[in-house]
Amino acid sequence: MKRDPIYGTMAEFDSPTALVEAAKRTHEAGYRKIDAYSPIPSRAWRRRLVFTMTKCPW
Amino acid sequence: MAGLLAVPLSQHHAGVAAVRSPLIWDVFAVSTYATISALFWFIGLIPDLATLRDRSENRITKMIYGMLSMGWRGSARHWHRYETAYLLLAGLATPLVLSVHTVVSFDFAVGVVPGWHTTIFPPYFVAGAIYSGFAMVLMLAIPIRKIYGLEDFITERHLQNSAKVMLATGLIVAYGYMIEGFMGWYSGDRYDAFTLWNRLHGPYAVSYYALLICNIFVPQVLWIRKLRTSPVALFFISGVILVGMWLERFIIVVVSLHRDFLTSSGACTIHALDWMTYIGTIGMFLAAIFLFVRILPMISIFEMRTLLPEAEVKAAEVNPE
Repeated sequence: MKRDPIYGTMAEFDSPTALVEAAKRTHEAGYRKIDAYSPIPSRAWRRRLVFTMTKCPW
Repeated sequence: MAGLLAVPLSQHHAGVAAVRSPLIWDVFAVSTYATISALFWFIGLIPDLATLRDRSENRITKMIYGMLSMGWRGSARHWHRYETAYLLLAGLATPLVLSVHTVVSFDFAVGVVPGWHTTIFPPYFVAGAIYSGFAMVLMLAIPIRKIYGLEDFITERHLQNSAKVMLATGLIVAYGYMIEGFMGWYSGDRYDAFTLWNRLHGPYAVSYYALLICNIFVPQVLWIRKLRTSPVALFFISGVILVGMWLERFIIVVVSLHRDFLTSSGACTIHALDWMTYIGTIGMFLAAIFLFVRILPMISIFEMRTLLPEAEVKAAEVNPE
């Protein structure tokens, strides 16, 4: 049976620090179609993720 | 709602707003302010509405909170746009605080009635609004804080800072009263002079002295630190200020109108219906507050979450750009 190509990968983190670190590394690895979910807003991970997703300066 | 009630109708063209009336400025100022305030309030609630949606066990409430939270998933994208929108609305709302009260004061200031026709009104109304606004917030927050045990969220520091704002704006309001009194004498205008005399010695003199006591003399006790940090004392001082601010509007509107240029105006009296309308509006306001406390978060949930130590991103482990 032929396997479908991988659509995406998800991971869960225990702390905001780990999430920001993961986002940073994913970004450095060249991935751009990424997102993060959190009940708490954090400037650090937003900066890291958002500027890759929109052309709008803010 | 207030805007709609304020739409002035021309007597010659029933049903058509009188566009030349200064009251029409009020309609625009109030409706703009109401729109921005409602948006600011609602947008501020969106992440918390999503929390309520996720936590509710009842299918119907889940659906209602779900619709209100507008598909909030807490994604980085959402947070980014959310905070941008919130900042923009806060930036718009701040100057609107000044404009709305300035325009409301213009309704009076552009009129010819002695006691209304004065240039001190815009800053005096803005300061008065902040003064009574803080008094109202304290009067609502202090019992809610006590009943629901929110002392760790609404701290003594918050109460004390509110007291300091009241003290400062109260002094601006006092300056407004002083200028009104001074101009009654200095302008040399006999109508203005009479307005001042009428306030001090006329049939409503009691309300003017009560105003001075409530708005100027009693709040000076806020200079004492012990009273600024006592919730019980602050509750009662705020109540006194609210009575004082009500008297201020009463004096501006009723006391000025009952001795204007027409003899017939002297017959103006306060009816039972006026009091009933007044008390009824307080009831409506309290009902709305109770509903709010019951069905929506009275303190922003997500903003409290950001204060938790677990929410902190440790700077050492993150490479700063």
